[in-house]
Amino acid sequence: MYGVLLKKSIRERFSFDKKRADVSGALLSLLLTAALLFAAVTVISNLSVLYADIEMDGIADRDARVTELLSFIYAVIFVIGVGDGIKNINFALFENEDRKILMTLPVKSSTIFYSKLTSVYVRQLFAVAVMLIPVNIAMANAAEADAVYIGMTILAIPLFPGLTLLASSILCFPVYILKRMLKSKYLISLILATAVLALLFYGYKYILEFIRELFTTGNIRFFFDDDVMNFMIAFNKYAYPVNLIAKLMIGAELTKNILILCAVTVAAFAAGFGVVALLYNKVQLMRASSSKHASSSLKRAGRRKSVFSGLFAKEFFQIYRTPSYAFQYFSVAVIMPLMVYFCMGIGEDLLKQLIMADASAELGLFLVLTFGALTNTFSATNISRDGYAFYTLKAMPVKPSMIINVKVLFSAMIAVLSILISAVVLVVAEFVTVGEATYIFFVALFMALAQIAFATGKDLRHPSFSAEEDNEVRESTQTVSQIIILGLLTGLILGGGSLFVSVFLSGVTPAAESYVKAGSLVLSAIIAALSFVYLYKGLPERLYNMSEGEN
Amino acid sequence: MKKDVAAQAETKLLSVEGLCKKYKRTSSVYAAKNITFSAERGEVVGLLGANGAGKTTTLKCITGMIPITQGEVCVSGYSIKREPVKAKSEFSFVTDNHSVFLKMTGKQYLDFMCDVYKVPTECRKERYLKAEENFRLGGAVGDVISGYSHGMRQKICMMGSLMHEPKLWILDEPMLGLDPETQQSVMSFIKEYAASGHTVLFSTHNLYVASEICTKAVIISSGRISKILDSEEIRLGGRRLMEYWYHSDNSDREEI
Repeated sequence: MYGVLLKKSIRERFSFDKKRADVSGALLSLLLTAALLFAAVTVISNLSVLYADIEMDGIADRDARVTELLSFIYAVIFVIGVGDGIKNINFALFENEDRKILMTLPVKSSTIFYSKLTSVYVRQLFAVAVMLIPVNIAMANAAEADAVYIGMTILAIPLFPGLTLLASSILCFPVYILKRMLKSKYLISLILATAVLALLFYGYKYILEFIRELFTTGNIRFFFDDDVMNFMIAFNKYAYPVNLIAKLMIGAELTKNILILCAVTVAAFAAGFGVVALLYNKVQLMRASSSKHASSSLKRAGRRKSVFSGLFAKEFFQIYRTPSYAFQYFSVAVIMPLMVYFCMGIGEDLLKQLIMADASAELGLFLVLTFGALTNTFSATNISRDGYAFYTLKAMPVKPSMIINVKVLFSAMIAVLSILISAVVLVVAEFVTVGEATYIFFVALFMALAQIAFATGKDLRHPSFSAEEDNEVRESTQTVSQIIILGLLTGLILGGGSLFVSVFLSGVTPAAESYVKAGSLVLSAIIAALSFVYLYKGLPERLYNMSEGEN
Repeated sequence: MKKDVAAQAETKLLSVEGLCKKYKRTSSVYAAKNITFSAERGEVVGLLGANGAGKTTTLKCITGMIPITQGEVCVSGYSIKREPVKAKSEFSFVTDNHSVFLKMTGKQYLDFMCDVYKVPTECRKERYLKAEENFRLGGAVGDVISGYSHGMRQKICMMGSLMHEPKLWILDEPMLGLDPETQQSVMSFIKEYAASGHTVLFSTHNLYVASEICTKAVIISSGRISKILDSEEIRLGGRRLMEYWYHSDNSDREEI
């Protein structure tokens, strides 16, 4: 029975439904993963060679440097693995709806539980392999890879998930309890998510600055000064158990380290299962316990609002009270100006130092369009988010245009706000002039409206209503992937095009820059107009003719 | 002529003429075929039939949730195809799957329904309290609907649908998921609501419910009306209803 359940869990995790396949989404994910891996391998490979040559007190110690760097990178993989583990254990044990069905079958609850946990381990194994192999390939040059290095890489793959599983299983319950506590604290969750995102981007800025220095000066010691090096040495000393895996790679005290690591992993694996088994029932009981009612009374009647305002309020509650939607809608839009600011500073310096070009306005446009394209993908689920309740809206006395206007306005509001703040930030930080910022604002505004209208129209034609109990669209739909690709493409054509003209052609044709600006403005306005035609043409018929199961 | 239409609409609140529905354009199978019936003020009309007979499809077509392949539906004289917004202002619909905006609290949902159906502020409090009295949601009205049970969702849908006191109240399998006490109170409420000059149309396969509250029963089988029973025939009791019920099966769904 254990085998049957495990097979089911693994199939669920790795299955590929040909009928519902999101080919463009899969392709996009594949391309992004490949690009990320390629970038990571290139950066780590070059960095590791430079890092391995760093001398401390005038002494070069290649093995020590490689171990430090490996420990640090493995620690990052460990943290990612633990995060992924927590998410998967919580989903498998508490959120997956199949639990209700499985409980009614003649299967021991321990069998269900162990099969699910094993499937989490298998997933972790896969995730670790995807991260660990490229890292070790990238580090091969610096580590002067030999047979031991290859052998230890293979050994580390099954050992690593055992360690992350223990940490995940210990942390999954506190995280679950915290999640439950924050479940109805929408504002706190939103602020926390925004703060974490801002922090991530701050770290991202730090890395970009490091890359910029590396490119322009070629001096790694700018970043890895004595303080950072002392931290790296201390980190390597105490970062158990990842430092043991790092030591294995360079073949240090091989037998001893293999034995310790195997023992630690087996113990961690057993402890991981044990901890979850111990706490599982308690958490399930807590889950089942009734919660208090929020205070609200029907004695106070709501003031009458227009139909439009009523629909607007509905849209707000739906987004505000769904953490993933709120994150996409509010947090990403709030962070966008920050992202533009960080990247603008680094990008401008790189342009000036590497190709002696001053194209701030064009770079600003490119960045606002690119980040805007990512934030506006939210509108690709404008219809699907309603779930099957969208059909009940059809039975209400509301004009189709009003239903759509509310959704477009709601998406446009945040898009306009984030573009406006980005433009203001660019002016305040003296990257561009007011005139240039106005130009950036209008081109980005037209493109954002175009994206919102097109995405909503596309979602109306092919909605993907969630089958989940809470109607939440959890998986990226085909429309989302297509909108990301289209948004990035137009950002690249308009923003990248004007950047290209400014950097490479303005010397040849001085008027080219102004022509390109005017052209971008007109082109973006035309694209916006066409997108609105796409959305509103034949809207009443399209909406009224929408039907479940109809082709 | 206009006077005739108005007079007809005054008594005949719902008229369904030759309603046909195919889910797939290329398919030859009709989910509903040539459905014709009407409902007048004060009537409680039950759509009866076995699972898959075409009751829900018929209701969805009447309410404009799904497009009609052929035929006509008028509510208070307004065509659901030509004047959908006016027609929809006259009724409200409670679906069988309680499709509701789950991220609102019960109270916010009631406010939303009041806004959509343009209920004046001064009437709202009284209607909230009346709905609460009939459906007893209690303190849960302040909770987010996604945390509601099946029965609670059914109750909030019913409460919301009654906020504008629709002339025609349409319900799809209203008793599903309700506890016996609430079922009884819903049945009483339906009778009272119809007695106060409104019309109720609902689907069910519960013969007891139908025989208790219907003044007209439309029996649907294989997407077609097999019999319309008046109040007298319904009053003859469950036996008559059972007779028609057993004669209706879904094996002969019409193809063209």
